[in-house]
Amino acid sequence: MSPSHGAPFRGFRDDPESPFFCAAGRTPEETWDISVNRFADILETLEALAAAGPIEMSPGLLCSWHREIFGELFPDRAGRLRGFRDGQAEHVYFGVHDRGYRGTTPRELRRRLEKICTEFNTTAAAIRVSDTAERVDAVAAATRLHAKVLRAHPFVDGNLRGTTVALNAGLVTLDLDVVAFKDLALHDELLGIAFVGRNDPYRPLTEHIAELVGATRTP
Amino acid sequence: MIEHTNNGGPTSNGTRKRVHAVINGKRVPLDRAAALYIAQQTHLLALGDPKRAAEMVAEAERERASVA
Repeated sequence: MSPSHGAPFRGFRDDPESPFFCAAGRTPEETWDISVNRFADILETLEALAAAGPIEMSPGLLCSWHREIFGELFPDRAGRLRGFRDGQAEHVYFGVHDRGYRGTTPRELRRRLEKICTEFNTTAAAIRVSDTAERVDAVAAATRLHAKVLRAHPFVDGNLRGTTVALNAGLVTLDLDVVAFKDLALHDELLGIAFVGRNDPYRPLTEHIAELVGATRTP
Repeated sequence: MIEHTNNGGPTSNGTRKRVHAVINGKRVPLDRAAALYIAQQTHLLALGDPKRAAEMVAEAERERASVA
C-alpha cells in the first residue's frame, strides 16, 4: 500500500516508490524474505501469547508488531505511527479494490486506534464470559479490528502485514484458528465493502473469514 | 450462510493447548512452515496484483506440498 504524502492517489502498492519496497543495502527480494521471516516469527509467538492469557489490543502492541516485522529493514519508520515531519502531516493514500482512500489524519490517528482497540477488547471480554456467544461473534470482532485498523492505515507502509498479525492475534485470543487468505482478490473486494458498504458492511468479510476458520474445525 | 457452532469456539474454557492454522482447507499446527506460508500469503496480498499473486501462491503451494 502506497503512501503519496498529499499527491493524487496513484493506485499501486508493489512499486519501487513504495517506502518499504526495498531496504537500504538490500534487494527487493531480500527485503521480501526478511519481512516474511519476521512476520512468521510473530505468528509463532501467538501460541505463547494465547497461553499466557487474553491478548489486550493497543496502539502500542500494533506498533510493536509492525516494528518487529520491519525494524531491521526500515528502522526509522517501523513501528512509528504516522505523524508530523517538518511541520507536514504524513498523510497516506492507498487503494483497495480499485478505489482510493486516505488514512486517518495523523492528528486523530492515535485516538482512533485506541477506540478501535478498546472496542475489540470490550467485545472480546464479553464473548469470553458469554454462554451464548457463537463463533461468528468472535470472528466478527477480529474482522472489525482488521478492517478498521486497515482503514485508519496507521503506518507509512506495511499496514496489511502488521494488521494481519492483529487479525490472527484477535482470532487466537478468542480461541479460534489462524487463517491464511487464499483468494487474494476476494479479500480485497470484501475489504472494500467493509470500507464503504452500508447495512452491516463488515458481514461479507466476516463470513469469508468465518468460512476460513470454520471449514475444517474439529470438535 | 454460516453454520454456527460452539465447538471449541469462544465459549470454550480457554484450555487450548496448541494454536492451529487453517491453510487450504486443512487445519494444521502452527509450525514454522505454516507460519511462513501465511506470512508469504499476506505479503502477496499486499502486492495487490491478483494475477501475479495467484501464480506465486500456486508456486508456494507446490513448494509447501513438496516438503510436507
